[in-house]
Amino acid sequence: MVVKTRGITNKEKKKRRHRKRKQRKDAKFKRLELSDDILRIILSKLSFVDCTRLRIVCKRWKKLIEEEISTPVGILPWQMIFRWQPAGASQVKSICKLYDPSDSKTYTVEHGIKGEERKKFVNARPCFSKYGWVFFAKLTDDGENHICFVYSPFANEVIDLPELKGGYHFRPAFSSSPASTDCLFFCFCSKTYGGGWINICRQGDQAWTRVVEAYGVEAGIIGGIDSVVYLNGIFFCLFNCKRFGGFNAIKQEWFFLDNHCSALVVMPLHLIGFATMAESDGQLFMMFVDFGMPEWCIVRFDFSQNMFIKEEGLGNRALFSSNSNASLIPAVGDTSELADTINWPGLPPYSYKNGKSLQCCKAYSKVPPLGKSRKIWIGTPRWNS
Amino acid sequence: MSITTENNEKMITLMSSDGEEFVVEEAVAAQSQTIKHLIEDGCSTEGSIPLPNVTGRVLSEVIQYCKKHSSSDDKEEKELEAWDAEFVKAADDHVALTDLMMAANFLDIKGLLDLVAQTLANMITGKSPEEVRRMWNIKNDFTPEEAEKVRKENQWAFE
Repeated sequence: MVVKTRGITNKEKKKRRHRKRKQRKDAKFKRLELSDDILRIILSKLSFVDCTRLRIVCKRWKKLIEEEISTPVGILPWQMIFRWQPAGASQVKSICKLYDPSDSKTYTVEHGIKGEERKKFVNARPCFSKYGWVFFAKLTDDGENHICFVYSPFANEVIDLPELKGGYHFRPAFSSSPASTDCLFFCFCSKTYGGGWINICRQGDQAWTRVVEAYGVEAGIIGGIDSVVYLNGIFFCLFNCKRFGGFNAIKQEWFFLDNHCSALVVMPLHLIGFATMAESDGQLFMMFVDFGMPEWCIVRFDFSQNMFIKEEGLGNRALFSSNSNASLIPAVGDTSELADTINWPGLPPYSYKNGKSLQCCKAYSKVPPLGKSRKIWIGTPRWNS
Repeated sequence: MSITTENNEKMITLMSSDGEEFVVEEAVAAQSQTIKHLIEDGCSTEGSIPLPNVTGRVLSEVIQYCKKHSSSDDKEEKELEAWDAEFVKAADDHVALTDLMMAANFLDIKGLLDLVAQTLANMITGKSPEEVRRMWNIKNDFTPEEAEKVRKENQWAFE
């Protein structure tokens, strides 16, 4: 039986109510629509982790985050904590974690037993790191060649590169995110007294191409390269022997930059320590640390005059250095305590100005110790690269 | 229509989308680059400036912000920060904040835009994708397979 009230059935009533509710809902929906402009501004204020996770909200968010939101400059580097250990004939015990200093959280990429695919990770050395990727290399069993690959713990992705004939010194780098097809891989190899050569390759190449042949003793080069920085299309190389040059990736030309400048005046000649380079705001800095000396020596390369300028300190920058990379990060606001310090993973910041270690930086106070695992600094990847 | 007060402050009238009129000092209204340009182009002499994208409720909030920020100087930075914090807190929820942000975007008030964007960003920090979808009635247009693929790309971030 159909119940009628004032000529309207209950069913119709229900329908009407539903329509009204829908109208209200639609109005609310409309009112809440975020334009791309607005969404872009909100997303650009989110942390890397939140952006990563919220790519899954909808296709529009994913597209905006991946293509238009860049990681803000000046955020503290993350730490990658890793260890790959053989566990039986074809298995590897794999630990790989990421530590985010912005919220003191540790994320697990892998922690467990893996198969064949992690075999090459065992004993591989991290040699260079940028854009959230790490260049790993290790010698083949016969010691002839280097096995090379790049790994992104953020995407848990490996890109294999061709093997490279081993030299005594081995220093790789890459020009942009290895995930992009235009990334150029660079590697300097040398024998201690036998000169060196530069190799390049791209993703998918069958072999490395040797582009610059043996320059060595005749060019005053002894030993290998301490540090490589890619800046403005050039791989800048600082040699053990304190010579300084660059490889122009576009013209594929090598040149020395130190023969017409006063480099030797400012660089400590007989260094027992380490030298490293890092880029900040398009400027190239070199840091020389002599373990016997109380101070470090910092020079900036002035591109307009092609010469070195001695700097008193790093100003409001902090140097984050590990074997695979060095980066200069603005230390302002919350991190101003780190200004003019050098930071190694697992050690408190060290100030050469005061000649002492500072208190452990709060941002890194919660890094898990994880036994014999290695720690390196790693920058977060750029989505839009 | 421009009126001048006793202090010789030039006043202008803003009209919201729902017809509400607000008489404010020109210096206050000019915090908005959009209004500033309209004034410069001579649009304010002919009666009030219509703002078809902003309701009266939102406009009154915007004016509150502009008044505070045009009367404070740099010395009061701390106090201003506290005021800003109270101001966004009073906006209540993300719905009101989204309205405010759209108005700030249309009116081109950089300070307000940044303030509200940061507040909204703080709100969604640590939230799950599902919670964020609910906040803005966003339709999940991924198939389960597609969603799984995106998740797999950065599995660590979801655990």
